[in-house]
Amino acid sequence: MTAKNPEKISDAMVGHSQPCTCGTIIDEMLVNGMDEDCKIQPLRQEDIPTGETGDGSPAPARARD
Amino acid sequence: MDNTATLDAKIVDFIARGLGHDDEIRFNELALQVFALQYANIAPYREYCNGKGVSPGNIDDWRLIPAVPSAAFRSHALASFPLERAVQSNLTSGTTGRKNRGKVYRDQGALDLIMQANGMLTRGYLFPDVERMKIMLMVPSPKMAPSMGMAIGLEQVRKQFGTPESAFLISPLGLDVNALLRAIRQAEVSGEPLALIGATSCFIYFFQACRQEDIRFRLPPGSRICDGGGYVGQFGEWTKEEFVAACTRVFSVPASHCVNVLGMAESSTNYFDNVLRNHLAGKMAPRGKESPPWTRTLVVHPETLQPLPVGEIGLLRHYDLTNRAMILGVQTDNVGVATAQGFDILGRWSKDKGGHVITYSGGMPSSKIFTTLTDYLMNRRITNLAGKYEKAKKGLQP
Repeated sequence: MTAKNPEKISDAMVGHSQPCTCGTIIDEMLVNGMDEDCKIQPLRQEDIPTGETGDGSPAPARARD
Repeated sequence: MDNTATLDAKIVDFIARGLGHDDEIRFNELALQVFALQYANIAPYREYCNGKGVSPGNIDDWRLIPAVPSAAFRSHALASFPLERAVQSNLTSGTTGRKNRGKVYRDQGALDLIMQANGMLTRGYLFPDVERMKIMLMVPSPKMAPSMGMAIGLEQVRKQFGTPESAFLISPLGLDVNALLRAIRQAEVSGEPLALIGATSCFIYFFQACRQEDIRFRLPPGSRICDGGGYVGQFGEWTKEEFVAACTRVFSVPASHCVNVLGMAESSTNYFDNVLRNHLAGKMAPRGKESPPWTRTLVVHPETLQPLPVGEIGLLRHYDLTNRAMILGVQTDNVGVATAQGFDILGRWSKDKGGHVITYSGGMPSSKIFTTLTDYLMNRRITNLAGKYEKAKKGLQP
């Protein structure tokens, strides 16, 4: 078992989680995109939503990477 | 056979006894053994337990086993085995962005436990009346999303319960609305029941498009819908009742065949609504989640974290023997209530929103990743749904 960082597990963590995430779907969809007909349409940089996403991170991280 | 394999074998035997028992003594024995293993092998968890004065030697009741907060999976890799033996890792929650998202790890033994358990639950609660049926999955395939628990789990569902034409509807090409409409139309024409399984937000997205164009379908009797992931999203806040009503209005699927499932990376077991199982058994009972014999769910006070009497609303704490690879007990931030048969989930509690916010939205609350999905989808609304459906109808004349 490997600790990621030295933060101790504590009861203070209760109330600070996000709901379980079914992860990479969004990253993948944002990278590949789809057009109005739901056909393949590679996402253009200008199509990437701006501002904060729900989890507080700028969207979409992988697309910008 | 090492200690872990021996313990896994015991849990396998316990699960194999099925859904129809409540062997508290054996559950307690196994829970204490899982706790001992995890206490020995997971240093941060051991430290957490020691801080509470709890160790395997000084408790004899599963209720006293410390449950780690869900957020601990973000800050720590909590595995009861050497990580080099991991055969699967699933993304879990994060609090400050996807780069800080946690992972849960499973070795082969744990994966076998989980597949056995969830296969039994899927059979019991979603497909108790049919061996196989056509399933359209409104999620990405595991090939596309290899760390997505829902994708991994539903691939097993497809293999175990689906007919050959069953398919995933979200690919790197996006949501294949045409394939969905073709499957619906095919079911309407053939009379063969169809199962639609997917993220709640994807259903809501589709319902919104149907409402805009006033489109309804008539799926044949026996068709069913299974959703997971939460009713609160960018499309508005839906109650559980509104969601079920939309399933009936849009798909002609009765409430008895609309099954919500609670799944989370931190607790390996999927918790299904009991409605279809009860309906087919002729049993009258309120809609709710049933706790299978290898799990226990407590409802605790959000501040004191002490168990609450049955009927009082609090935070859900799950104890799950199939969590052998990580932590048996998980203290979630989900709000719920204990019921006669298990529990029901009502919303979510957060300290991050300027106070203690409880949302009573029903089902698993919206996941932020799905919020991102809906953000994206809203910019690319389904258009001309009626035209697409007409095209599907022409291709599949009765």
